Amino acid sequence: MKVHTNRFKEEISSFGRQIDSIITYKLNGVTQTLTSENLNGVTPTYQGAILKSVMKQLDVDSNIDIPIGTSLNYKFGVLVDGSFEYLNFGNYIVFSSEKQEDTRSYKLTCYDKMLFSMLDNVDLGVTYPISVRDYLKALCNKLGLVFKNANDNFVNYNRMIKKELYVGLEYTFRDIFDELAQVTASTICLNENDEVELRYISNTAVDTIDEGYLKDININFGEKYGPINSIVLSRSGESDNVYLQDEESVQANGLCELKIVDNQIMNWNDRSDYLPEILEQLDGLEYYINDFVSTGIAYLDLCDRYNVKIGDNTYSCIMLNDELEVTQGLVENIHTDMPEETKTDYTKADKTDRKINQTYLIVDKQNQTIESVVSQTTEQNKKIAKISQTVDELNSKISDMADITTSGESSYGSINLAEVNESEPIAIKVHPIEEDISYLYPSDFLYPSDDLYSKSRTIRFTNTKTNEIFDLELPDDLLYYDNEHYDEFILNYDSQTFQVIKRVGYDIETNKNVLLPKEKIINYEYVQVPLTSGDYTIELLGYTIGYIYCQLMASNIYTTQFATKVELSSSISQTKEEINLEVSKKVGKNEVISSINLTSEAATIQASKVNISGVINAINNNTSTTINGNKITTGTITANQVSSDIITTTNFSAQNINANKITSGTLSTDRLESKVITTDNFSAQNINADKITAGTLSAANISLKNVRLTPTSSKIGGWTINSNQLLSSNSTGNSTINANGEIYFYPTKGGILGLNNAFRCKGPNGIAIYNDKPNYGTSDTINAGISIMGDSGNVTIGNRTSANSVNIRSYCSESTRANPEGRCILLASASNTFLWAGGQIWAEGNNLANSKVKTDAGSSSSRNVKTNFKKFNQEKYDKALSLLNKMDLYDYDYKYNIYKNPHKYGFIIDELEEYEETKDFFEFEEYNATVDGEKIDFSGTQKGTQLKTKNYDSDVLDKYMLTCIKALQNKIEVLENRIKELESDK
Amino acid sequence: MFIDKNSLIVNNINLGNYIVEARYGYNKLWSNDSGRNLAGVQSGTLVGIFPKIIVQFRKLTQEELETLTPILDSARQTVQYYDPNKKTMTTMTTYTGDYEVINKGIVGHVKNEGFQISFISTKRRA
Repeated sequence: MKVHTNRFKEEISSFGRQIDSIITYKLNGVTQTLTSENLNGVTPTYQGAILKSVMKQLDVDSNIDIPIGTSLNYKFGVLVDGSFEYLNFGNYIVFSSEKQEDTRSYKLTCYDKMLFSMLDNVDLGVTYPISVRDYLKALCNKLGLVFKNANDNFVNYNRMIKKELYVGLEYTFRDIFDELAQVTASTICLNENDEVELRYISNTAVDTIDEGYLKDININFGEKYGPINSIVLSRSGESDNVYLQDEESVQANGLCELKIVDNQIMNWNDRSDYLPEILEQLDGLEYYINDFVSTGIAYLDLCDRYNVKIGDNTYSCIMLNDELEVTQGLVENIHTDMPEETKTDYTKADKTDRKINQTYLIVDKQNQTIESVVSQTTEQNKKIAKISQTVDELNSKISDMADITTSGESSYGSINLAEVNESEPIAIKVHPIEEDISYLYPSDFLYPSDDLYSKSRTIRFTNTKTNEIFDLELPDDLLYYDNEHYDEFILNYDSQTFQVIKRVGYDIETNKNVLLPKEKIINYEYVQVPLTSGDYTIELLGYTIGYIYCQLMASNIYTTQFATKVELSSSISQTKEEINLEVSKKVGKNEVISSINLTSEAATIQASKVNISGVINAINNNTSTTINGNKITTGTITANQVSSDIITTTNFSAQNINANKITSGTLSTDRLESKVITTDNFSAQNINADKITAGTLSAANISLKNVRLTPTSSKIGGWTINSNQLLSSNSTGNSTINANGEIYFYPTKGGILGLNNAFRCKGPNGIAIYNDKPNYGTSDTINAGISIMGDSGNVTIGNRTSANSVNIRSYCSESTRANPEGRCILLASASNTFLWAGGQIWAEGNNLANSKVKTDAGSSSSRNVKTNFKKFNQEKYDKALSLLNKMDLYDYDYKYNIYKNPHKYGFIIDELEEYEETKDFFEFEEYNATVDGEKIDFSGTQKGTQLKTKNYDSDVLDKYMLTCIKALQNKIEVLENRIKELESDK
Repeated sequence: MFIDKNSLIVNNINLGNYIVEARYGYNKLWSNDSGRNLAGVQSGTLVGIFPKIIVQFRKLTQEELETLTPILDSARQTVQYYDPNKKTMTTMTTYTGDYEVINKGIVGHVKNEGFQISFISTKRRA
């Protein structure tokens, strides 16, 4: 109702009222005002309806034109106590202007800003899902309007729109407003402040008018509409309906339904969720249909409920259609029509699409799809027949899924489930009824009685077959507020949910449960309950009242045969390009599918087995193949493999024949490939084979090229080829080449290894040439180097050409053991190096001329290669003679087989080491030897008794002896001088 | 009403010098919505009160008539009069009714007889 005073109401109905109109608008930034002097007539009007959006209209007959698109405001006034009281009729946009030449005035047609919504809808740019309230807000924002109810809780305000529904449809924003009016059970309009407002019809009248407001003509009241007691949501050509009724009202008043058809928001299978709030809002709505002319009321607004009192009758009416004609006078035409009557066949409608057994048809105009579903769900089976249709495609599918769970619920805290399989619980729901499910929290003033016991929060699973007990502890107290508000515990195995939904809190001060301002979900770590198979009693321990729902795995034919569930389905999909027929069976994770695919190019059948009964004719390119029972008649059979016990033919032609056995008179072929050819007599011009295995292979000529012969035992030309050995043996000797690197030639008359060019023998780890093998067998280790060893006879290295010399050079390093003094050629007496002098160098003379062994003096005694000179003094000479004097010489024999003649003479090193002077002249070197009998070894490789020995450098002995001679010479000179002195004294 | 000789001025001409009588009418104009309502009660919208001043001119000379007739013949006039309701001089726009100037004694001395004319407000009285 428009804001007005009681005096206004009195004056407007009084005889001799005076009225006024004011239109204001801005033109080029300057506010313009049109008064009654320039206005010939103004008619605000609207045509509304419940569950609709309303656009208000203003017709103006003005002497002054107002540009199209101009926003103007209209106020209607009544003279009250000497001044005009104005009602604000809101703002309008000039939509059209027509000049009336006869009256030289302008007829302006204006609409309120709902005009902005008369455009094809576009994407609102919102994120889905979005609540109905936020969607309305976004829609208003898109149109540049303010949503008055943006913070209000109106009907279905918090229901979620899951996806974009209108883009692509030929819906205007106004159409969307219409559907939102249905969703919110309201009438959507703009108020005088240009705000989009959801307007609801009140149950009480805002005003009562009497006959004084009514003209004496065209006054029609009578039929009463309502009370509304059934809301029907209809789709698919009104063939698919869900409804919600006020059963008591239907009983008492008869059915009065309001049908909402093809609402895009309430077009899905959650549409029944919208019904309760819509029905709650509209339930009981009733009003009188009317059509009357008033002398002018003006202040009643859209959706106002008002009473009209005529005589003794009072009519409760709703202001839905109004036309206020303001000229010199005032006439108001009001009417409210009967809504379009609908009658739903409720025997074919249901209260929800979510029923276990569903039958529904969804027409999705946005995506241009039609989906129909017929489903039937039993405790263990779910059967679905589904057809979906688009412009390009038609799909149908029939499926049968077996559920393998068993479930039960109770409000008395206990349920029994039989034949449960070994598993964990699939789902559990618990909430309190009338009393909290919680621990008992004693107050400070509680004195427990004998029969007071502590409550628990335990769900107990008792296997009544095995008497096993499994307890599940609720993670939190479940508090109760009323039948609609309580805490709830939820366990869901599939999503691993283990949570408590808290809706109720506890107020310590009042000691009462209170509603929480906002629902709170607390998630806990998932707790497993490993149940064994058997029959179960599930109970809320200690509670006889309390809701419990439990779903467990059932033990039945499916679970005993299969691991999980069984799904059978068949589908037909059809497009303009192809038709697909598919039948599948899924047992656990194993799926078997048979399908037929038809396109314009091919028909494809896929199945584990294809059974065709009858004669099959395959015709192509004027040729045909006939399969008649077990007989195939065709032109050519092309196959990688034909398996047959017998192939009977007069002429058999094949590129390749793979057969275990071919029996034939004559086998003529360009090429015969076989892993094995077994024949008594094989005759061939050429044999190309990877391998020829034969007892005797006789051939005039065998040519081998790039061939590796790998015989295990063969003989070619007298040479026996054994595995890893080539052997030839006859009366002249035998020769062997072994794979281990040994080559033996044992001719009876001696062999020759002859080469017609330089002979090179390469042995990186040593080369030994010997005429026996005392130490150089293949198992013996030889030192790297070249060893020429004779065991019997002489070893001669010579040169028969006089011009050429025999050179023996040693480049060995100073550190080698063989020559601690530097480079040398070792002449050893035996196989050891006990004495350096043990060897001898024999220089053979030539006739009368002596031969000599010369050493290279070098420059080793030159001053320029020496330093730190210290001339021997007499003390040094005295020491030499002192040592000489102390030194005893012996005859002795060597214990071991060192010299051919073991008898030798000389000093003993052990004695010399006892003398102080020795260290000035001698250096002894210690060696470790191994003694075995008469054998002594210094190589360290022989076994025997360890023996430490010492030797000396004979060159040092020479120098010592030179020193002694010098000392003696000095002594002689002294003596000679003494002699001379004595002789002169004489 | 006339409170003095300057109580009626038309287009800035004081008619007090030319008239012998002035009648002031305050006519109510009712809308066509007027009638009886369903209760049998008269109902209607008063469009407004439109003042109407009827003046009786004395016999005017030719010169006086030549001064006044352009005003009387014009479509609108601006009339200032004393409104006893408002107790002040009030200005209104008027249109005039038809008028006739009668001449008697055509032969000999010609003299204009006095005549009557109405000044009617184009707007309702505020």
